[in-house]
Amino acid sequence: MSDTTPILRVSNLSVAAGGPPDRVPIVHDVSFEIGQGEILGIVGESGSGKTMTALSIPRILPSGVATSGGQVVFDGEDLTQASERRLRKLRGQSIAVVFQDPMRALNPVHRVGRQVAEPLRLHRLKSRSQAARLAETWMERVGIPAPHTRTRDYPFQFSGGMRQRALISMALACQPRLLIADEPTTGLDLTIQVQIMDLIKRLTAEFNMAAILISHDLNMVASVCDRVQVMYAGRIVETGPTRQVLRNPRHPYTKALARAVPAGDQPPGTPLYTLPGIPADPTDVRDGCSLFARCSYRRERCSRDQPELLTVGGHHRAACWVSQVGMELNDG
Amino acid sequence: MLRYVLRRVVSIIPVLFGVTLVMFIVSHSTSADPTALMLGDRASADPELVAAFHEKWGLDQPLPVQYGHYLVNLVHGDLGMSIFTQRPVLDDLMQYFPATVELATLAAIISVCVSIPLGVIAAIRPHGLTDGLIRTLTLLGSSMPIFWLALVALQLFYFQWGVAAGPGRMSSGSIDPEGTGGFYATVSLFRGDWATFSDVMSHMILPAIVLASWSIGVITRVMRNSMMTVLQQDYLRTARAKGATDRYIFTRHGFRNALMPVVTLTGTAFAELLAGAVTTEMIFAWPGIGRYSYQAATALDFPAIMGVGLLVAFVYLIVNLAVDLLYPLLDPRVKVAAR
Amino acid sequence: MVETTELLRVRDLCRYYRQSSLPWRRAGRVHAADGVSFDIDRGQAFGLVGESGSGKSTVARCVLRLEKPDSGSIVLDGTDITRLSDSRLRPLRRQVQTVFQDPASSLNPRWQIADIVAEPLHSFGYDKPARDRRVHEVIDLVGLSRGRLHAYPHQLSGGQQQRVAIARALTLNPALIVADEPLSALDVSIQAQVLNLLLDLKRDFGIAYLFISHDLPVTQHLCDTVAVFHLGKIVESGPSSEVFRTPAHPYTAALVSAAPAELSADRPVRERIVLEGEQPSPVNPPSGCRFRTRCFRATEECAVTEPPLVEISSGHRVACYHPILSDLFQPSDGQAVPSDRQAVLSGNQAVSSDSQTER
Repeated sequence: MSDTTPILRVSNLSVAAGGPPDRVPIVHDVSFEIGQGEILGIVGESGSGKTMTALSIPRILPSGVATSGGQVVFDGEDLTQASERRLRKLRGQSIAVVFQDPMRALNPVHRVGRQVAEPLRLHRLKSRSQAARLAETWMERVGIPAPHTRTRDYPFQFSGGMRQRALISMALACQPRLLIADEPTTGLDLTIQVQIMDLIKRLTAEFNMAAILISHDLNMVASVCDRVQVMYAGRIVETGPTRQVLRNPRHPYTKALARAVPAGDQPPGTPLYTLPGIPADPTDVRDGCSLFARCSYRRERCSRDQPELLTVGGHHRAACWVSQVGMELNDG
Repeated sequence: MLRYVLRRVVSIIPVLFGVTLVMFIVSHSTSADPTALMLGDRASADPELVAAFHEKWGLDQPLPVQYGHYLVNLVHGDLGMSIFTQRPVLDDLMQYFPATVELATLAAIISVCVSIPLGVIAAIRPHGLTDGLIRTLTLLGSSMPIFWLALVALQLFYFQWGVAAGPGRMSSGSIDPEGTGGFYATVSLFRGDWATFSDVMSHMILPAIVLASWSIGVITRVMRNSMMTVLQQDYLRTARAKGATDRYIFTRHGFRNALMPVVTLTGTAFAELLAGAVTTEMIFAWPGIGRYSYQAATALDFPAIMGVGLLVAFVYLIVNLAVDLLYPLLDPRVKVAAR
Repeated sequence: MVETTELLRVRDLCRYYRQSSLPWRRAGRVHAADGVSFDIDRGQAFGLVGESGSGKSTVARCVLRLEKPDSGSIVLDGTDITRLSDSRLRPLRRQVQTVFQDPASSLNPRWQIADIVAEPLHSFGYDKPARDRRVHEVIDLVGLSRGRLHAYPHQLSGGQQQRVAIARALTLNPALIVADEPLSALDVSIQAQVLNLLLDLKRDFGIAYLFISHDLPVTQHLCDTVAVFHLGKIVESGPSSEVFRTPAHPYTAALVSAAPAELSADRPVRERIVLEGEQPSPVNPPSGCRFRTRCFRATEECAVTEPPLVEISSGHRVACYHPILSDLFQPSDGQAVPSDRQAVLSGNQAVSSDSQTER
């Protein structure tokens, strides 16, 4: 899987928001890596810090948000130390991003073809007609029918699924080595979601890209990712090979996420396993496990010490004191 | 597209008829009578003179008949005779309106050239020092009473420092250029008649700036807010993720999108300026439609009042149409809907 | 248990929207609901599943009589409400309450929670003590603390807001709650909490649901019967476990394969059916079967006439000329699945992947 040198290694990354007086942490000490051709899923609910973690790689965080520690080593280069000029060269060329909500991620007053061609114009200094031709090829590759005429259309003339395909073709235009997709299927119809996921999986394999897939939907990610990591309140709480994590979650939060969706083997009408209360706020720093207040397995130690992300079997790691002493997370 | 324009132009006609009807009813429902004003006290005591006056101007007939006459004449391009100037209203309007058009256009050009850059600069670092300064200045500009601003400007720039020319359209003693149809600056510019052009411009610049001060304030604020909204849009983040420079993002992805609300506002502001800047024209002795309408109103000159009203309504509709036609150039979503 | 008697009967419901670009141009008609029939018994949950634009919300609005259907009939508790005047309708309205998708926008931001929940009581002549009593009852029922009664909606989380919306729907003791995507704006772990609440209310008070959703696992979990909606028509209906476990319509099969519910269970990951293309325009639906343009089993026959909804087993109806019927003749352990059925289970290879992947 990731036996080769990873293309991206994030170590001890922290992200904070706000100005110096009332600066609050929103991502705590996150470490992970991705190998070439690998798809990593980052799963979490809104506010878990999954998007901020990913956007801090090409450093395109919203204004007021910045990395506050750690390293992001991409292809042997620490991006946290890189100049803005250097990062601009990497963005769109080596690291591409596909955003959620394709309607708003596309400029409504520019033609789609021009927007797809833009990275080529910015990085490869191609002539307008060369870039347009290449953009058309890419639009065809992602399954946009009749790309020759559709390049002249505006985003509002595209359907939701087609817009997302256009965004993907735009991201791939310079053949990046790392693709970051932030909730690429949220808001799309189920059958279209499947198409888009299928497309991302196929293209990452075809071009041997590494990809980070961010989603709130554990199961949707599971169908395409080699590895997944689950985030809660700005921390990675569990990570490992997808099947292992889903079949045998070793963190109570992952378990809740997996069980929150009714499964086929569960008799209809029976109550679902849920965590009480609402997700913890990552800016609320306190001792111990951030899930403590909602967890039914909690021990005395959990309120005191922040659990470390330690192995629970092979590459499968979880940040839970209960799992680490070898206890099973039974329903209870 | 052409059919769309035609349809829009045709749709102006019923609106104009509505305007004539409303104005006719309103102006004739006042108890005021121009007779006394025009004939003086002694003559209005003489019933024969009054009857003759009424007959001459058609005031003796019932109102619906008067209105009918007015409409019939209007269709033939006759706006009636001005009671005050004793000339056809159309001739009066043709004489005074070009002066206002030139003044308003210059004022509009000034406001656009000043407020769009100011709005963009303010939006780059909102709530910063530059932004605060720009917002304060433009707020001052639009909240100053215009008569005060006009008098101060005249006092400082003309009487004290002499850097601008005084009231009127041209320096006293110079002869109005011939065959310009009233468009002194425009025609002299095209003719290459620099002496006339610079004289006209030096007279026009001060009232134009005074007029623009209001619209600069409004347009700057809208431009700033619109730019700030656009700068937070997701597609700018997309452009950033593509590796574009801030400058590129600003000019290619931000500016045009931010311009859309400004276009509508500028159109309205321009129509407002054209409708007659009464105060400014009075203070600067500008022979434009504002001054004419003031005269007409004080003399209860019904045909002239109706003529000015009709002109103003027409200008509003045309400017609105122009804005609507300009919009599709900026926003493709509108273009397709209009097709 | 409440006796199972019929609560709502919808027959041949049709609702069209005129889509007019310009007044003199011939207007297209959007077939938002086209001959929809279903029943909901007391205490039963009925799920209406479909993608966006399929018209499922239109059905909900017609049942709530927020819209008048163009034809067909809606019978609520024995009374035909299809063309009832508003004044005659009012007393019946307390029987049907509603919960919407976005709790934040369905609650008045300037009202306190207590006032929002008490609002429906005002129109039915409850005095202040009676109102307060009822508000406390329903607030306890939905699991909100009474301390939040004087909070404003924005001070609550999304899940709590949806609980408030449910509490408001409960105040009048309705027989039916129309819930239009009530979970889709919520985070996954909160979804489960609200779903559990809906299940409790159904069990304890015999409330029936018209549950509208695009989420198959959730619908299967909550609903007794279910109908799959596609472009204004029901293409398959029946007991929810049967419809979702052995879908007979190719569209249902594709939706089921797309819903990734079974990964956490200890069984092989099912291959997905990737449908090609997008949902056709509801203004000009394809001739014959409206699904045929994306269907992997379509033949020429499908383009000619629209397949009628026929019963294939007790209560299980499907509108398809080539339904996937094999499971009905097979033991449920999944052994010896005939080739027909296998094509669906391994949809990616057999069905549509060739044109998808090799493009």
